[in-house]
Amino acid sequence: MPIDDVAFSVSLMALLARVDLPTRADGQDVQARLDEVLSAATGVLGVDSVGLMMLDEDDVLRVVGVTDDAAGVLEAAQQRLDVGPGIDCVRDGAVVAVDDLAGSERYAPVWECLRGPSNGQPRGGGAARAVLSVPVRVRGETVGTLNALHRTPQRWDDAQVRAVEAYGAVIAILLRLEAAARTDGSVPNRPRPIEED
Amino acid sequence: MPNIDPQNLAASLRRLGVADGHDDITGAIDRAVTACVDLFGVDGSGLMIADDQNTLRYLVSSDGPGRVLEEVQSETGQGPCVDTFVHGAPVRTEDMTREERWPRSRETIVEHGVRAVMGVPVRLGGVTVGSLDVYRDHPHAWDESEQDALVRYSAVVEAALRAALAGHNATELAGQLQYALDNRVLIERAVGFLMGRGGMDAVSAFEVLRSAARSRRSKVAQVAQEVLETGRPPTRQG
Repeated sequence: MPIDDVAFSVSLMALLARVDLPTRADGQDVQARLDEVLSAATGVLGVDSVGLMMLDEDDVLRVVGVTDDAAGVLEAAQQRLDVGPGIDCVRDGAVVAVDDLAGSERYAPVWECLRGPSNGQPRGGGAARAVLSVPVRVRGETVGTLNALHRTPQRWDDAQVRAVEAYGAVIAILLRLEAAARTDGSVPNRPRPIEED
Repeated sequence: MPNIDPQNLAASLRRLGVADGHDDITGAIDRAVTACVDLFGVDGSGLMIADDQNTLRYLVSSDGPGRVLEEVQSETGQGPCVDTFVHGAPVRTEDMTREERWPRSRETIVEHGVRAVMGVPVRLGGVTVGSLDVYRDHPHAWDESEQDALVRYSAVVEAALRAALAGHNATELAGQLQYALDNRVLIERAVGFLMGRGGMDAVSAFEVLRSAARSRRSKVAQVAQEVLETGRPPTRQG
């Protein structure tokens, strides 16, 4: 059911009139909001951690945020190897579910990287085992991937896939709002001065 | 902000910002709220936001019953979302048909197939501004993990609202801030006064202020100030 535009406008004006929204230096508000949204993801989705990778202007996939070391190690490995469920998810624009990385032939290089150099012990208090990568889509185009993970093998059921997909869609919505706010004049988006490199 | 890489985030936003400057804010909030259906496996979800009379208004709902759930609460000033807003804390009901807390809205809500409801506060800048609710069309005992998950998700809805508001005039916002917060404090003090004086609960006390303001076409904060100054319950327009 569509939102009531009139009610929405009235309510937004009411909010503007009475709520403290402290503004911080350029970009920090956006970081704080995305940090909250990623942190909330683990509680909402009931997963151990999440990582977010997004394409930049040159179509290079970059790690934008992670909730813990396990996600950080997984995302870094995928980025370095250019192999992984998140990589396939962005390339194909489709959900990739891996119940156990350790048993996956396709992603064996990722697992090799995660489990450590030689002794087979997982790093950082437990490496990712089950990974679910969903597309982050804007205007129908896949622009990134949300990776949800468990540190133990797990079968992803339909309800979990739907939930993580829905969360990926919400992240896309938030990033679109942020991108729009940067380009409508309220938050300057100037080229950086030369001395800042 | 250890979780986020600012440079990579900025690069991503630059890419997203290239195609067009404006996105549909109303549609964005709508989708953030209706995502609850897939996230929590519920039958519907909605968002109510308080207007400048501190009356909760329907803003978003995922479906028809959800809209009725919100509208009837807005009309009667009674219901789980109203209580969530007034108390600033989660409120849940397992089965509306057995509920005795909200006699004026219960029947309509049940008629439209809403049975189990859970609401959590939505806050901006430390102030409760509304209520995010989910419902099921059958009785359901919400457990703590479901409540915790919805509370966590309210932070996401708050982030979306803040992102939407970030596109608006910040100086105007800052100018009105103190006045607005003062109003909120006045209302809360008047609610406390009426509770102590009239032996009523917070929801009823708030409703007394709200209906007096409505009947006199003045603001709830003005009625609250009058109550505190005169030491008497508010009078309706007569």
